Amino acid sequence: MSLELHQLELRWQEPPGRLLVPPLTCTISPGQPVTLMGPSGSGKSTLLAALCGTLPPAFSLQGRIRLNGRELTALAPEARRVGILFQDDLLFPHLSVGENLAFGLPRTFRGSIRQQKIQEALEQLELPEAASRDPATLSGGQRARVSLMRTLLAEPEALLLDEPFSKLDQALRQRFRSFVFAHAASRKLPVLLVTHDPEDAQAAGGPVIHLSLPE
Amino acid sequence: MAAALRAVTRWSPLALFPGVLLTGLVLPILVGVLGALLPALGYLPALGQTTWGVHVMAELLAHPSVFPALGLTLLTGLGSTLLSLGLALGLVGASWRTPWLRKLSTGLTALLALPHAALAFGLAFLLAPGGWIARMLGTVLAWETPPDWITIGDPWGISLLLGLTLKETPYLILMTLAVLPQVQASSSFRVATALGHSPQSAWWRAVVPQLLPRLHLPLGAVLAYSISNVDMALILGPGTPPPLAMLLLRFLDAPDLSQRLVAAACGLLLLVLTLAAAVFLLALEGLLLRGFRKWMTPGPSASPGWSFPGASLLGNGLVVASGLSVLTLAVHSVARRWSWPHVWPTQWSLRYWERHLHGVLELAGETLLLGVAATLLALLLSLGTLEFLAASGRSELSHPGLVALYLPLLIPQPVFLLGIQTLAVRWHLDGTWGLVLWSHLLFVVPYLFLSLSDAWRQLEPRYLVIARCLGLNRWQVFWRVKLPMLVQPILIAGALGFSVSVALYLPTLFAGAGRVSTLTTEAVSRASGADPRLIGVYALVQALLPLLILTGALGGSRGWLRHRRGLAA
Amino acid sequence: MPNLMLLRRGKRLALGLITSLLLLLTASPVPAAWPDVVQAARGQTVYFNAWGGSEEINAYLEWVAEQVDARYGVTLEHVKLANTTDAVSRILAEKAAGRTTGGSVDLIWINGENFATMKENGLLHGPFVEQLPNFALVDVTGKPTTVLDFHVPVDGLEAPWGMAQFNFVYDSTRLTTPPTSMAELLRWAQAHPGRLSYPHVSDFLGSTFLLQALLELTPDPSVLSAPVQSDEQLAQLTAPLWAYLDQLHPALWRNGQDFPANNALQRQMLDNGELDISLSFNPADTSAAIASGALPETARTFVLRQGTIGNTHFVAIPFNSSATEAAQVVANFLMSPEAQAHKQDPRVWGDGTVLDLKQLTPEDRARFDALPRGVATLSPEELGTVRPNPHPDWKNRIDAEWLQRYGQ
Repeated sequence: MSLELHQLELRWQEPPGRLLVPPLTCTISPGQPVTLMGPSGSGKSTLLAALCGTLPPAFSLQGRIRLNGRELTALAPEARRVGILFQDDLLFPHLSVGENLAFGLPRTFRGSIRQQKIQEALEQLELPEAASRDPATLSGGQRARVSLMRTLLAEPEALLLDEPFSKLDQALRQRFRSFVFAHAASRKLPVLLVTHDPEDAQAAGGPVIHLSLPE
Repeated sequence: MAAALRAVTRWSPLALFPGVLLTGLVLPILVGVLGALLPALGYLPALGQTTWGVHVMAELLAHPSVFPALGLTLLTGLGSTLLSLGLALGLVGASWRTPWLRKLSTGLTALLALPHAALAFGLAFLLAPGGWIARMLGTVLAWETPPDWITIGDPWGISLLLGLTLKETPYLILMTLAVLPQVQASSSFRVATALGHSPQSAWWRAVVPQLLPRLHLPLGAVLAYSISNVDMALILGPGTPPPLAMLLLRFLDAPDLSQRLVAAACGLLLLVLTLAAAVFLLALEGLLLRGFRKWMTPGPSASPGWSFPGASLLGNGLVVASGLSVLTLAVHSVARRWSWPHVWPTQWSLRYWERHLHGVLELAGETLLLGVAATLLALLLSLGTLEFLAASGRSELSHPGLVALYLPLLIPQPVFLLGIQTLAVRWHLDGTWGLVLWSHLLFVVPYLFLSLSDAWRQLEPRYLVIARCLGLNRWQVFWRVKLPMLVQPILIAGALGFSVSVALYLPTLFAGAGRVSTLTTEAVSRASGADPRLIGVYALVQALLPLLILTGALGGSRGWLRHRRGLAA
Repeated sequence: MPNLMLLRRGKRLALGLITSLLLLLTASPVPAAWPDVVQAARGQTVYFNAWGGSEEINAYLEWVAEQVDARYGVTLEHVKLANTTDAVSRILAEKAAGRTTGGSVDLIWINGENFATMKENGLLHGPFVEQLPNFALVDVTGKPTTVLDFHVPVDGLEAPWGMAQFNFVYDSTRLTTPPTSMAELLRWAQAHPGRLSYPHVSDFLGSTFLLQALLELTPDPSVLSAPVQSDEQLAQLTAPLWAYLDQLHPALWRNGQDFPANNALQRQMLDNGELDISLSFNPADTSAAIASGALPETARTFVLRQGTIGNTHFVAIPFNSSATEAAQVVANFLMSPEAQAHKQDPRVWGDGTVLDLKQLTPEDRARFDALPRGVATLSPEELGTVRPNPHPDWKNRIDAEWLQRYGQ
């Protein structure tokens, strides 16, 4: 079980061939989150987009990405089974809390089992009555946790974190951080974390890769 | 590998949408312009005219009304465009950071949905020497006969200029609001005020110079419409001489058929005039933004600076004047006798409604069908094109693409419609429902596309990434995330697109060939009888239909948003 | 510029000659028997292009549509025009595109210039009028304008539909003794500045006002029934007209700098009290307007002592109509005593009949005798002499000159 990057590099299309992220090789194992640090513009978020399969057409990608032995580079985003969390919760405002959770839940769960899975998730979130609530009525911390749970319910095989803690206040940040790492560990997910905050890197506990600004 | 992936997106079937959009809309217009150019150069074989040359142009220029009409058209066209722009910028500047804007913009959207002809009829009933305002004054001041006011149809075109301004200002306000986020107006404004500028100074010096270049296309559309409109000029403009577009119609309507060549030459002149006016506006902007830049940096002053006089009064005035115009239509429609100087009719009657309700409702049904079909098709084309753009990683059309899309709004209508009519007749398409629908699409698509592309641009892209990562493909993301999140802008854009279709006069007239008519063509042809009661009935229904649809759209989206506060922002 | 105009005229003449020749060659030699026409008409739809600005006329055409549907199984669609030339241009465009069948217009309400243009350019179907049974009832001798439309021979290409006579409309509370000549009208206007106007010449009543003045002011009106001979003749004969207008205009509404766009607007201004006099081409429509509330109860009409211009209006079938049989059936019905009497009823439209009442059966005559005259309608005696329209050529030249002098 691991996410492997092999000689992965990102270049701009315009001017052709200009290097954004130099070749990168690493293996991310469950329980050993890798942290990616670097100044704004060093290509951290673009790298995550490349892993998701949502790389903007302005960039090109070389190298290989393997997840649990599967080659990802040619796969559409929805086929990769890579989950992502952003610094905003990005709960769909047109859906209720329960519908947000059901959004990524595989279709193999049907009928009452589906309902049950969502109810279980709500209970893990300590929001057992919230299924039909408008996400806008939740607190910031609650929304962040719903957002993580939504990602996990889609049964990803790897988890990408794009500064998911940076907008939360100090107390909330610590609680949510341990919530995220605990859930990732219990599901044995490889985790790649992008952050500015050395504390986040420390809490992740794994190796740290520093990206520098492209020339 | 990556290159292969890109190739796949480039050849996606989505490319069909912009393809249909651009070839279906732009190509025929160019052909239409050509069809109007040939007769202007002396070539119209149907009338036995095959002598190439400038003699038709010479004949046009020798016509006594042409030069006065030219001056009048420039005055009303440029005047109303500049006035609307000034009002729009002033009003937005005075209100964009206040809650008042929200209320105002609902009123403005309603104004935008009001058809030109209905507004013009209402204004005429309001402002004429024997109109409502004069009656109110006349009763108080005991005037025996209506005052010798030169209001409606004044020789300088001032009432036409004001009518056009009333109609175009709301459009420019909404367009200005749409580009505000693109220029990061808030931060520019905050920085300028922090540097010591008053809010007015910050708005005009720091924000407006960034806005102007982004308003080129909407301004071009306003300019072209103001210069070439026929329905408002018919009702509010002077007759001796008339504006150029009316003169063109007079040539076209002349029993002497060879005057059709002169009409074509007049169309050419109209096109040149529009281009010249556009160049003039660009030069003016260049002067303000590049030539004399010192006005932008005189340094901050502690005084509050000159403020926009009575902005809220003026903004509400726009809404109230238009509301009153619609009200006079309603009163006229139920009057039997309404002699001078009574403020209210002396005899009331529902006779006109009883007699015409059936016919009006039938026409309203046809207008509705046409408008809904045009709006849905335009929605389909616009959404498809936006998806194509999104798939190829662009947020908006390239500049030439945008200009092409705007072409039907930038070229004076009478010019290309004349040429298209000839083609349509050749292919036996005139008078068919399909051709009328297509002619409506020409105008509905640009408005719809532009208002939708703003909504598309403002949608947070990470929602789409999340949805893809949760296992949805592109198509599912479109259906289950984009559409539901953009219900409100889609409904409102649809309602406005519908109102564009309802208001179209010349395109319906040319394409419909008398076989397909709408409330607008019927209202204008009935208006040739100048019976205010009948005009009241038709223009009121014409005004109410788009308002009804808009109310439905607003109500629908409010219902949709009731339990989803996160979308209402 | 005049050279160019002459050149164009020459071309038009040649074109007209060629199309007349072609018409002669292609005209069907044996007209179908009337019962066959009626038979073929059943089930056809006629798109009747007619001015749609009058409530009364629209209502009358609705009645006609019900009648021809019930009697002949013909569907009549009234295409309401803001301007008759819209339809003429469309027919021309169809001809330009080579569409010889399936045209968009099946029947059109025209006269005068529009007829001359359509006839000249070969845009008309026919001749068909002589084979319409009701044409025999038309008073072609007493009402010569039913076969000579503005001095242009009708040649069976348009069927007479109604009679018109130029008259003035006024409010008797504001104008007590109406003028009886153009000279008196001028004096009245000078005594009441700003209270008189006439429509712009792009409206046919505007140019009819000019022609009416010309007839009265020119020493020898008889030459006006032929085309204009020369620029000198034109200048000489119209000089009194321009002198008259130069005196009149300063006393007009807005000092003669602007004119009502059309007669309908002018009538509305009379009703509003913005003007004291309006014009009309139908001696009975003032009564009809009073009945509908569009003019005050005190509205009346007057004509000039020397007589006013009268003419006939017609319906014609375009060359590419796909419902020529049904169009003929409608044209025939429009000339029937019943339809003519209904039309002449001032409560309906009040438009004068083209029929010779002496030729009608007693029952049909009774329909006309039973009609009320209407409070503002003058009797035939009061209406006096009907003067023919000058040749269309005069109208064209005078309109152009008027635009040159006052249109700026």
